[in-house]
Amino acid sequence: MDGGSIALDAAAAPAGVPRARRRRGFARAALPWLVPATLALGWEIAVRSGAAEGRLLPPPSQVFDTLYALAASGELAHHAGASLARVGSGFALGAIAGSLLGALCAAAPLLRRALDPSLQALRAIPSIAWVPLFILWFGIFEGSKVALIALGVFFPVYLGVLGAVLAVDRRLVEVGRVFRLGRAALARRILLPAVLPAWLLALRAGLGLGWMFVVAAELMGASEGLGYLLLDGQQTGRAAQIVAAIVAFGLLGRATDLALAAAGAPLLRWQDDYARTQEAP
Amino acid sequence: MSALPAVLSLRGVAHRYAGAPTATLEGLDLDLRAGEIVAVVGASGCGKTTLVRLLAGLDRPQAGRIALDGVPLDGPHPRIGVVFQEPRLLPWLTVAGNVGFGLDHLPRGARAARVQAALERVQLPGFGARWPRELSGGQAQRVAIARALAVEPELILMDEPFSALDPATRSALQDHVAALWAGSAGALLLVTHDVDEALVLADRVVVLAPHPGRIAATLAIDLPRPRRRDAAAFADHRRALLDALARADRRC
Repeated sequence: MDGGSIALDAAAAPAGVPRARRRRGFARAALPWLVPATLALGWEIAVRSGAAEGRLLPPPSQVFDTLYALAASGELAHHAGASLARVGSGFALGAIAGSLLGALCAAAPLLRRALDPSLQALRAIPSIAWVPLFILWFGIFEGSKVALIALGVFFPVYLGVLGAVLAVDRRLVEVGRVFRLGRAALARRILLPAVLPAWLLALRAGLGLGWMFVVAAELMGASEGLGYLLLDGQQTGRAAQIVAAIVAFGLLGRATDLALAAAGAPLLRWQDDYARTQEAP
Repeated sequence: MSALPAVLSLRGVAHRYAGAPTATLEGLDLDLRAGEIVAVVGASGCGKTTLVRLLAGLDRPQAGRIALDGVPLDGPHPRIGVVFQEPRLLPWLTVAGNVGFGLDHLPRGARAARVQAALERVQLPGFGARWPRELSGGQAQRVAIARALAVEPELILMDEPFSALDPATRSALQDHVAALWAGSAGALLLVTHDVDEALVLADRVVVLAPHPGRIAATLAIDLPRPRRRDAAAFADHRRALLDALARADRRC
């Protein structure tokens, strides 16, 4: 009740807000930047004043210079595009396979008993261990990289979908039965909307692992991609390039995660959860 | 009244959960006529909810016959509506979406009109665009009733539909349902453990005895409607029903 009225106050703020309230809004927006900005500024000052050596960990200004130069030459877009394409196709494959198998295993107990133990056993193997085999099977170029990313995406999506379908409230399923929904209609009108929040969460977890595995795949040999920039920076001793690539990875990963969350948000407006009772962050 | 054919008839209906020592229901005979309101009362564990689940087609009886208009029941039936103990609204649909859930076969305009009419009958017009999370407990249960009414069934089953509500909301909803059914052609079977609820609503009260669940007594309630809980005749019926309940309990 209290949380609700707080949220209402915030939402109902008129256009001509008092300056104090606007300042509070700015402070709230700035809060997440406080820690990284302080650290960056501190390091910059430490290196410039000569108190610290910037060769192995370059100061922010140097990292931004490198990022800017890479962006201006078009190299950044080229490498980021290559990594994005790999994550994109690996994510698509892994997410589709994980969603389908998860849903099928949840719907058919017999299939679950036949398949799930094997999949759980495969899950216990660190995905990177497959790399030599994937290289033998799919070659050293795109095939093996996309396969590794797809594998990394597959497991969290499979587990998430399987668990979510099995956890759907029996009482809501009975509502569907009372209205005589067939299997397909039950899946479309009850199960799918019920698992949507968990599915979106599983896809985001899968996407995160996709970005993790693209780094692993590219470190193992690539002629393009942000991982190549990492390796190239290491071999030529340019720490600024390594940090620049790391920053680019972070920004891209966060951007794709936000895009996925934003794509799902309109479908989840109905949710009645703890987050809704808190103030907008 | 007795000239009307039975809408729903149960003959020798029995049910036992797998591994249970005694049957939940045994040898149940019951007839429901058009427009009739029958309340089923009894202590918890006497198979009230099981009875609703059998009639709703969610569970199957192990013996006996359940027929609607003379046709044996095999699973959920389009002419039987169900209101559960909890509202069981689908949280991802608006109130209008929930009320129209069973009207998928209708064109959009006809569905909207039926939803509107059902919401007006439960006195929640203008609530169509709300989300279930925005409703109070009483409002949510009224939406659940509207969802069952919207498909215009011959028989509605209610399983302790008001038991989770506060006393004031509960008695208001009881009066409301009584008014809704006055002159309605649909039959209502209401399962409850609330004696006053049975007396306010029912034409007939069936008392169940537990272990195994069976009919211990049937009381005709011929009080004039709308019924007043403070009337002397109401108190007489209440005493008779409480006696019947006590006798049913002793027999277990």
